[in-house]
Amino acid sequence: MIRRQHWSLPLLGWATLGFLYLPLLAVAVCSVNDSRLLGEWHGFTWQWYERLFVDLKDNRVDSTALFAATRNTIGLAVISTFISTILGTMLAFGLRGRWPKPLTAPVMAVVMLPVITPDIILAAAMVALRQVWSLFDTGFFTMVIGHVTFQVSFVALVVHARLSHISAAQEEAARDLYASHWGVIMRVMLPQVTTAIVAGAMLAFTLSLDDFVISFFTASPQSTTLPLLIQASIRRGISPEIHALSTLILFATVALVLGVTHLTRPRPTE
Amino acid sequence: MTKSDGTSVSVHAISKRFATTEVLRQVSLTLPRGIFATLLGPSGCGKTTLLRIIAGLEIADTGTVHVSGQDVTTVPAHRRPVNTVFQQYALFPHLSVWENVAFGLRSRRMPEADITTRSNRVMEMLHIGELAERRPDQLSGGQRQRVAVARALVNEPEVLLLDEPLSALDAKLRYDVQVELRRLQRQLGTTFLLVTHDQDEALSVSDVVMVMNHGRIVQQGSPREIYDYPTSRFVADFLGAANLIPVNSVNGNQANTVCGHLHLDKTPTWNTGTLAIRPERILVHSQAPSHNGFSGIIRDAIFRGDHVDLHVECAHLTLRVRAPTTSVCGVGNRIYLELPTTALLVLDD
Amino acid sequence: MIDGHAPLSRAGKKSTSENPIIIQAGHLTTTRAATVKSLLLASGALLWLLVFLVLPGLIVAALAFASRGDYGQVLWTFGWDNFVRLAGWGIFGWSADYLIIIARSLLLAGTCTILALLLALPVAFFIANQPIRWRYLLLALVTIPFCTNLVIRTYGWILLCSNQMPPAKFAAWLGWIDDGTGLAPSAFAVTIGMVNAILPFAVLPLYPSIERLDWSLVEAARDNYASRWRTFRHAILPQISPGLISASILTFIPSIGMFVVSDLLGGAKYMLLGNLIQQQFGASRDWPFGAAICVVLIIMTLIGLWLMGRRGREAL
Ligand SMILES: Nc1ncnc2c1ncn2[C@@H]1O[C@H](COP(=O)(O)OP(=O)(O)OP(=O)(O)O)[C@@H](O)[C@H]1O
Ligand SMILES: [Mg+2]
Repeated sequence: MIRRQHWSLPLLGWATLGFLYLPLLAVAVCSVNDSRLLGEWHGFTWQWYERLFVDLKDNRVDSTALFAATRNTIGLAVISTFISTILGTMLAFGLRGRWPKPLTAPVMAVVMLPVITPDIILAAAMVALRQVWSLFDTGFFTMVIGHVTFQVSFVALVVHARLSHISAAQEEAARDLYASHWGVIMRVMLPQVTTAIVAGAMLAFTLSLDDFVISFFTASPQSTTLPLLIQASIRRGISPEIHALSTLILFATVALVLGVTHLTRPRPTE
Repeated sequence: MTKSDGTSVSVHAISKRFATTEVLRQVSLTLPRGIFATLLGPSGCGKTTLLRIIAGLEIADTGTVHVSGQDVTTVPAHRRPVNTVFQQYALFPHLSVWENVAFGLRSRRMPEADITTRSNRVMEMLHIGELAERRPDQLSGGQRQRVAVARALVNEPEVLLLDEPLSALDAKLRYDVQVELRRLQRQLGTTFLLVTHDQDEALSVSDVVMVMNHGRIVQQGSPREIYDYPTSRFVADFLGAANLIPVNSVNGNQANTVCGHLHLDKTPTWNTGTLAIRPERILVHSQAPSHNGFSGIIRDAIFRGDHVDLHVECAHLTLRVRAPTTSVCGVGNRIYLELPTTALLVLDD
Repeated sequence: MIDGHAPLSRAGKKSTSENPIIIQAGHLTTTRAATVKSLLLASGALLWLLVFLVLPGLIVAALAFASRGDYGQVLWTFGWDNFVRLAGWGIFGWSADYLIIIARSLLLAGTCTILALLLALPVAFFIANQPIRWRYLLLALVTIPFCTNLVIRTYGWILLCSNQMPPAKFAAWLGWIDDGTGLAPSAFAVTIGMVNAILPFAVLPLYPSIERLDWSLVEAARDNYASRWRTFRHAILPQISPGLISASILTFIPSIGMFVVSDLLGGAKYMLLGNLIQQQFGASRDWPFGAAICVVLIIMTLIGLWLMGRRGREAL
């Protein structure tokens, strides 16, 4: 239902949406400005993008490091998302089952823990773990562990929310209609939760791509990721190469989000 | 135990308790093949639980279930030749109507051609052929109900269990579906076991009515028998709201009640107990009748179109009377009621 | 022959009084088997969280009571020294530095949460007022920035706040800042950057409760000539308070532990708890002290959650 709205509502709405996009826009515009100076428009250029892919003496972003960081970021996101999606989905199915009464509350608390804990604390916990257990020294392996730790609950919560919309009567109906135990899972449960699993995986993937804090505390020099690289470059000063790199990442993220939203959109018939 | 070929379902001495509540107590019933049976009872009396035990969705604490002569007590739901129409239908929201109907046949890995012919035939029978491509949330309540019936019937079960399938429909639609269920059942010759708490529904569709109360089947028989000859206060009251008249003492064929003496056509087995009479069997007179007459004062008169419901106070008892609209029935008037011997029911309790 | 005997002694499964046979979702099993199955399914993730979150969390808690050796190593002594130091007592006597950081973090998180809610309310009402097909598009518009990298978004604010850009020049023209200085680093820049970062966390949980709003109550209030504010207070607020509460929880938690934004926009002097922790685990190599700050941060988060949860229960 559409109601008559005060004229200020659309104005405020659009202004706030604009506010959300302001920093992104600033980066993108600066990245195609043919000047090292901010604040003045000197015409359009692709040169900062080109410079990302070659090693030049006065280049502020080292392209070899950039390739390594890109590889690390994507590798880290893919591996951690894979693990957390499997674990999280199993957890969601497990939570749907039968539980001994006294266990329910503590288990839910543990599941909620990564969601309510500030990520700096998750990071500190990984540092503390390495203090007592040298297996978890800085590096790619520890980064995967850290990422899965905060992703898994998000996947589980997304899938669990969908599962709780499926009535137990549907499972019973499927059994009544001669489906085997496995058949119920494959023909009734999974088809109804696939979009939730994809959405959970996608959430996990973006969480990993975005993560700065945990990577910052667990990365070794060889396993630097793009956010770490950008942060390090920013500390050395702003530069058009960083604008270009940031814009590329922005567009990749937006394309990813739009792609997955398109894949998981509700079908018009549903 | 061997069963004769004519028996569809036989349940023997089933008991079930959930935590501390005893939901079913030693329930036994037998359904001959091709019969339309109803389980009738108030909410919470254990109807759904009994149905689920027959379907294999719940397990009894004691007792056995046989379906077409086979002991299926420990056979899981997906291996029983029984199908259920669920209370909330439980259609699969992610599948089209056609896929919903074909679900059971798919599970049994039937050849695709057979699936198509059988599904289409059942969908025609239930007039849902043109809905095949829709999804459940694009259907009306009545259409969903038909899909649920089709989805179960397509499997040609030995017995079809229906758990209050009509409770979500409005009165007019409910009547149509009752007629249709009856027609389907005759046409297919499948045994139907319908659960309901609506007495009109039970009386109008079934061959056999089983009345349940507090986890027991308290009486069973044809709709006529149940209605005309209730044996307990519960059944007399639950079906058609009979008037219950307490009897203080019995003297041969004569019962002494608070309002006076009543002649019975047989001697009760008890000395104090209850008689029942249906409101429409009580006759209204302006003068005292010669036989079995009470006098009383009209406390309320409700005009119902084709009749008037009177609440008549006789001594300490209020009797409900269904009188023709032609009778004199001003509130506060004194009238005479005749309780014919043949209409008086002697209850067991 | 079969009267009253337990049917399931023949089910191929042993049924005992502690472990009765049940049918769960149409599946014949025993209570214990069903429980074991749930536990097994959940065990992977639960073990993971226990080993990599709960256990390290306990180590952090233990570290908070240890002390730092001369070379940054951890000495497993037990004492409250780290907390005492955080409360201001150092080797050079008492100073309020750390307490100021704690107060500043709380104040900033509170301010940002309130600002984000104030901005999120009109946006959510605006979106809920659109035709359905537009709503999802607009919600996606809110979600997209939330999926982009925080470091990059903060970088955008660095650019916008730089002294060469129009906002800073305008502020200088108004005389708010000196000519030639930028808007960052400053508390103002941190606040803007953080509100921008957490805004989607406020809109997304708020939106569903606003979409479901029962407008007939609002109309009833209007019919009774209630003022705008009274209408909002009595007809709208009670309906959206669950959404408001989850929105404030979801914005407060990231704000209190945030350190990227303050690190990049706040400058060296503008320290928050997050930066302090990072400093202890990084450059200062004083892990026990860092752990003590973590413990304080967690306790503050829990108090915040508890307060909001209680307000939430009262509001409902
Ligand atoms: N899984 C269960 N756990 C505990 N108690 C239950 C369970 N299922 C049913 N009961 C209880 O058993 C009793 C009978 O329930 P049942 O569903 O069989 O009633 P019903 O006759 O179908 O009622 P209705 O007409 O309301 O559907 C009720 O008191 C109910 O609360
Ligand atoms: Mg029921």
